[in-house]
Amino acid sequence: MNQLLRHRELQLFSEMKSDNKGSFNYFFDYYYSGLCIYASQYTGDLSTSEEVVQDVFVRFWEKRQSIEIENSVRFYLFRTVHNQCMNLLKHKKIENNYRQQNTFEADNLSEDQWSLFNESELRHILAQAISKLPERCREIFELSRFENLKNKEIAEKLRITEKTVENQITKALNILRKELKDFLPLFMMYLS
Amino acid sequence: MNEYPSIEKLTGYLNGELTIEETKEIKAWFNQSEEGRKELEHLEIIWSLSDRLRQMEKINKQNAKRKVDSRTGSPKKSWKIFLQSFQKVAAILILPVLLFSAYLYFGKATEGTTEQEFFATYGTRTTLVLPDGSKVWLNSGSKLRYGKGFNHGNRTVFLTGEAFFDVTANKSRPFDVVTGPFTVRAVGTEFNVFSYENNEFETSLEEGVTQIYQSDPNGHDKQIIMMKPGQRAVFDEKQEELVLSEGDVSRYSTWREGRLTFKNAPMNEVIMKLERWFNVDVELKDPGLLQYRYTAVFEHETIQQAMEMLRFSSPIEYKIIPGEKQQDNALSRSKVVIDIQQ
Repeated sequence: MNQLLRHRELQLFSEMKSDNKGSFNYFFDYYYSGLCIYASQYTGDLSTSEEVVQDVFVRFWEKRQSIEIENSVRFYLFRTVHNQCMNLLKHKKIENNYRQQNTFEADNLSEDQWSLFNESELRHILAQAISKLPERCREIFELSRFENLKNKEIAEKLRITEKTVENQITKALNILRKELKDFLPLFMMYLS
Repeated sequence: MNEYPSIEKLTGYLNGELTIEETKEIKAWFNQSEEGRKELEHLEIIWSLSDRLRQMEKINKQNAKRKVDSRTGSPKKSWKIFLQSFQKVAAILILPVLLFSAYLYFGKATEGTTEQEFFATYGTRTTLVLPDGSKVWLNSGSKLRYGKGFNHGNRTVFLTGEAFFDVTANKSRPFDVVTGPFTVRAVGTEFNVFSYENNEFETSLEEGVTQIYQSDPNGHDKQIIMMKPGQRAVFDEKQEELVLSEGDVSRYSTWREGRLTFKNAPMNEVIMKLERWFNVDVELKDPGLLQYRYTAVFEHETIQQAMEMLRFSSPIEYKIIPGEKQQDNALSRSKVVIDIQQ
């Protein structure tokens, strides 16, 4: 992650230590959804993950005076959620059911890979790539991927043939491959 | 199996909806070459990236935040709901006032107006309609004046304080807001002007175009900036120049909906605005507090509630000393003393 953000976050954390709830809100807003997705790799379900992450944030606020973070707040949050998940799994003895090969530990993530667990960063990466698509192509791709419509439904909605929808999605995928070529290898091992 | 799989098959594969047999076929096709193997891998990643984003977007962050807040001792907001319904009632009550003032000024305008002056006393906000139909929201402690000639030639108003203008479009008759240091000229726009003190000036533009003129002692105004929507201009007293910035300017006019908004605002600005908003005097015991910055939205809060919210987000203590009856029976202003938490 970028150095500027890292420093800014350390600053925000020290403001939080002097009881600034606004700084706490920032951390919550920026990291909550990503931490939940991260936790669900261990717990296997989203509602348990949400509980874990909420617990972590409650303690993050309550224990703010005694928490020491020297390097990175983001790292601290992911590390804590990770540990919390491990405790939970040990407790429930379901560890082996869900610890898949491709779950990974926060320590091993490179700068860009962090974005996989951050809603706004991931949105930014995808939006940049998608913005390179021709307009019609983008519209069809978004309907397919984000509105979850079937090709047939898209064809009906836009009054075009299914063949055209298929061609446009193929075209979109090819352009996106080029646009995302720097990220794809990084993300490869972390997505199943 | 030499043809590229149909996109239907391919998306079926990516969504995990194919039979084992069909899945094998797709894999086999792409595995014919190293390039193909890579392509399939990349497609899978693009697919899961967009899935993952959708998953994250589905998480109800607000709901979660409420749960966390209730466990970290945030103030309960239930009275807010009550006040919101009160706000609707208030809006209905204000409407007749608006119509009446419109009648009053339109009526007068046709007869050749005399000079008009409006004042929003401290702790209150006023809405008025000018002879040309333009709407003005006047913030607390602000004064707006226009002369006889308002309906002839340029539409000119003089402002001390803060006001939001929704100007009726009329290209042939520019609308001028004259403040101490600058004049803001509009044709048909929505914009906010802030200038309580002589060297204080801020304006933000929500719609349309405005031009800013510098008032010249010789009476020759000179245009310095043409503003676009979404821009805000602030006069930097030390550098003696107008500084332009861009962003969401709507928060600078939230006061007219009864909301006082601070976004990372320095303590001195917070104090100044609280004083006008609540009609109180604020005394700062410890100058060290000036280094703090605040982000908060006040809506219908009393001064006590507002201070509680500030106390929650920063290490302060406060005391409210009620106003006293003076000789003429009028009540003096209440005083708020803020100190650093011990």
